Amino acid sequence: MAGPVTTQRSPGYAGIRPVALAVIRNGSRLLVREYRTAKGNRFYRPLGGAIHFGERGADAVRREIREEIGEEIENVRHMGTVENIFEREGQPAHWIVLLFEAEFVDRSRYDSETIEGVEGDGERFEARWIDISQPLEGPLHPDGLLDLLAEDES
Amino acid sequence: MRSGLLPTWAGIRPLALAVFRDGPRILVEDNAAWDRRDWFYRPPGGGVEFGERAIEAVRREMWEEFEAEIRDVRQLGTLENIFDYHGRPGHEVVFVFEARFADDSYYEAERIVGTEGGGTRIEAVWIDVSEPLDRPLYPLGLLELLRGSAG
Repeated sequence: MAGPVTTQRSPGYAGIRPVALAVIRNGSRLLVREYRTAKGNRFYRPLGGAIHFGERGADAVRREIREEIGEEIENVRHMGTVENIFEREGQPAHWIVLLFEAEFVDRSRYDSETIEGVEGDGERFEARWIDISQPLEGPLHPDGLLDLLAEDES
Repeated sequence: MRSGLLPTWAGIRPLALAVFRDGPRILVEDNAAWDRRDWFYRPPGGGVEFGERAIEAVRREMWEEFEAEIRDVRQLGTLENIFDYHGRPGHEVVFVFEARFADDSYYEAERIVGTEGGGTRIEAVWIDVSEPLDRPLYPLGLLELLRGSAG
């Protein structure tokens, strides 16, 4: 059952989700996964996922990339952290997103137009490159990522 | 939420801390008053609540703990603090801000006394971080972060 109903006393931070995402770039292109909201609106997000208790963000991002697309990454560098407080499908959400720049160990992956992946729950997806120097067909999640990338360039 | 269904990130605590600088000194909470087993220093601040931005959390905490208004709040970075505290594992994602007290008298005080949420007395003192410290300073990586940002 969804919803905040609980008889246990939860700490004030309960529900905040710490996430680690991999910023894998190829020139002005960024590797993302495309998502659709329930209303069918497109949005993009880099690959990655929730940080586990006791796990460092850089380790989380390596693990997620390995689990999702079976690839190893290197030169993992913490670029910054963004806070996203939003509502999705009527539910409030609060993500703290640690963004890590990373590179594929296998350089040939940069030549792949799409990269097949699989979610923890078995759902299949295709990651692909989007050119972030051009207008996008949907918002890039998390908010603040584009600004961070622009700052990082300068 | 039943314990068997806790998400993998359950227990990771987001914190927002404020670094107040005065020359080579920074303000830290002195935990000797409440923990005699493991003395350390940590800048003041506290937990981020669901739906709250870290910068709001740090303003709220400084008001709740020390009735202090702060200004020129600027984020220095975030640190991951994974530790073991007397046999209990801890995991914090720490937003570190630099800030100034609106009221300059805080910079003159030897010891600033405040109250933690639960009513516990807390004391903050100025320590010179250019000198070797008599206790560990948490979160680890703080001094490197401070050195990386001009004072």
